[in-house]
Amino acid sequence: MNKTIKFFKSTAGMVLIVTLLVGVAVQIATGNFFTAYNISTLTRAASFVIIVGFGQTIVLLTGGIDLSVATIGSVCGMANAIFMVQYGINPYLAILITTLMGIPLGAVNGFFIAKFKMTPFIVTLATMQIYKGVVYVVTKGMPITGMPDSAEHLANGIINGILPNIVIFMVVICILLTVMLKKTRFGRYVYALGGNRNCAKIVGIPTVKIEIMVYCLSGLLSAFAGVMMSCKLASFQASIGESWQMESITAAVLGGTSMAGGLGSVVGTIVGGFLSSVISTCITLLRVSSYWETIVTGAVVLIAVFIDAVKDNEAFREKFGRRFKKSAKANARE
Amino acid sequence: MQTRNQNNDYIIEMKDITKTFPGTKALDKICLKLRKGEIHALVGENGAGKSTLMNILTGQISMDEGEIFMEGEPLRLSTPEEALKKNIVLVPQELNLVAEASAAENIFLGNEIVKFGVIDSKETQKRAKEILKVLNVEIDVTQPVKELSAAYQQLVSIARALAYTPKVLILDEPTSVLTNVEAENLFQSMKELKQRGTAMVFITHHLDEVMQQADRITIMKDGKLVEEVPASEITKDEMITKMAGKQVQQLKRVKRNVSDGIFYEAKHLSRKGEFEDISFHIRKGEILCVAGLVGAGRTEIFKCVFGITQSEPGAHTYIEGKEVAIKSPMSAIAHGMGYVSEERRHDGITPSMSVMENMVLPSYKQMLEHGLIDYSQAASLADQYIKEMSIKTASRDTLIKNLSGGNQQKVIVARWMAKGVRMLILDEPTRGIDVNAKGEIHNLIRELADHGVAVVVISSEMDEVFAMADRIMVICRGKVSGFIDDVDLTTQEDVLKVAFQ
Repeated sequence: MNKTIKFFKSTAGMVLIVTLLVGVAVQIATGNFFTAYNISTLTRAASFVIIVGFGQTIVLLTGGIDLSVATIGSVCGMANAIFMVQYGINPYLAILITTLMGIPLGAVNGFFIAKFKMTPFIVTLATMQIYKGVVYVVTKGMPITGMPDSAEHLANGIINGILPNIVIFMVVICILLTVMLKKTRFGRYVYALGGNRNCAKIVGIPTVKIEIMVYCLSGLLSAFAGVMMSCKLASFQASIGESWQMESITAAVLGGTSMAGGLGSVVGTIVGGFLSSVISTCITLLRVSSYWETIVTGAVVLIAVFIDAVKDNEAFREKFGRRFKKSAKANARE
Repeated sequence: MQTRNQNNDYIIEMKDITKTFPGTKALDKICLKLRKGEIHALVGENGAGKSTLMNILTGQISMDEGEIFMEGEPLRLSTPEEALKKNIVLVPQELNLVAEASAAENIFLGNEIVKFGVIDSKETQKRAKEILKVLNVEIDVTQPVKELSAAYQQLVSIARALAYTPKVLILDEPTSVLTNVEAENLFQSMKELKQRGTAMVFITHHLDEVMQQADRITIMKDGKLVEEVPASEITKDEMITKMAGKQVQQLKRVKRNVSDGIFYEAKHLSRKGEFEDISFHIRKGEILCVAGLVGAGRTEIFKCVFGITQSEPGAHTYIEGKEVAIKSPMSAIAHGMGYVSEERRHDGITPSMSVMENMVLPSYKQMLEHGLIDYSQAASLADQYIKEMSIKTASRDTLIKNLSGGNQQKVIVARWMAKGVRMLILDEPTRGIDVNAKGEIHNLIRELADHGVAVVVISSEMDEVFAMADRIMVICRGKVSGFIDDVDLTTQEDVLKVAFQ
């Protein structure tokens, strides 16, 4: 009981309430928000960003940032398509191999950041460009089409018309990561590293190793999302997941993960990821021009983060409280 | 002391200030009156509410109830900037400087001298020098503050406060990192400020300083006002009794028996610019106190011993007679060492984590069940130490940042007890901690040593060194200037003589 109350007071809880309210409002306005088709489409679309967001969350927990998530997804998605189409490798084997490719790609980030104490922002910005370039060099900008149906079914399938496979994958990953973060030494060390790096060193945490592993994990999850995306579309295009780096950060932060490190959870990231997805679905349902989508998304993010900041800041809250009382008094006098 | 009764003599009147934090009443109807040109000491144990009260006066936190008047006018502050505008300035206990910026820039940070829209660095430097002169400090003001010693950094942060020409100046533990001479200089400057009519609040655990410097004393305990008295009408012992609410033992020397087995030995440790040719050993169950002046290199030596930094080639270290290479804190811990650092906030605690987690962080390895952490073990261990060490916390799940300094320190000591270390290095373990908690921490350290743990205590407080030490190592300018084996036959002056050799 107490835990439930605590959750709704947290950032993720607030965002969940906002998300549900938006959904209810659109349901009232259009009558077709809470339909099986809409919910399955929405959750399927959101799951890709959320899976990337999991990796981003864990990186943010250590106080770092990973801008290369989108392009790691892109490189691995491309490799997946090439393996299946050009080499005719068994789709499931191809998916496994290309997903694991994310680990070395992430390790490059981790190596420079942890070993040479380089700034995560710059390192991942550089690798982002490199991986993006690799995709263009290999594909020359041309799409790769003709992937087998079994791959498409895996990524695009829906159980009973409401539960997409990818959502199941996302939930399973979330459970695994939650257990890892809460119950394993690695997980606690991630939080300790982000909470106070100097203290982490003094208590004997292998900080370099942990940091490299975190970027590997982020690479792995991005790769999985990229590979699944290419399967879903049954083709590869260089533009796959282009917007993932910003969307994954947004999902993590809306889910209550602190960009300074040490605070947050992957469950929160699911909530954060759904908010953006709900907004874009609503814009479609309300027949608003899709050009407005990013404006509305940006505004909602700003409002959600603003409410959260005010909620946790005593001085702000008091200031607003006082102003509110003052205007209430003035109104009463009139 | 003159007797003044007129209300307008008070520059600040705080009336019935009440503040509740989740779970505790931090302040309960506290009244505090400050006169122009007085030094008003605020004393009490850790957690008595002194800092909370001063944070309210400087607009950092809001009060639930109560009123503040400044020069007879009601005062409402909701940000520190508003307090600064009213010339109410706080020098915090923990240093708050921009390490890369110069001393002069730090002094005028947020208060820049601007000419035609740009910072006038010549004038800044000139004025910075003038302010530091008031404190009797002569340093190169263009030097980045990270190159200054902790003592000079403290003086720079006092100088920053003076740059606001304070009407009310609050000094929170200003002398804890200062040497006697530097502290004396500070007191001189405080007297000068007094002449100019500045009201000063002086928070310190050094009751001798209170007796010598303060005009009036306000004693707090558990968020309540105990008494406000002129300094001339109270003795140190009375003050301690009132602070604690019970008779407290003064620091007392306990004689102990130490085994002969050497646990750790170092030979020829050197680091350029920090220390050179340091050789020493420590026995099992021995308390080795490391004395010396601030900046002599004591902290640096033991950072190297613990593997945070590396010695230059030519050094040898032995544990129980076997040569070992300690390349990182990880390997130091693997060899049974623990380290309690001088700067709790910087590298002691992880503020976003609970008391329990801060305590068991290095010990998770011992609590694994099928690869997962068994939190029931962690919880019972944490509860046991919270009880045994009487750590004041709402629960084991409270965030450590919500504890007072003394209790945080106990958690960090418990961390290494839980790990079962065989050698523990404590750097200034009782800095900024009240008399009672200090005694408790001393007892804990002795208990550890009684269980055969080799304990190193680095301390700048001579009383502490003499109360604790089985043996004293004196460091002077990065070198060992001597060992004192028979502590009972030695006086503080002897140690100082060795330190100044």
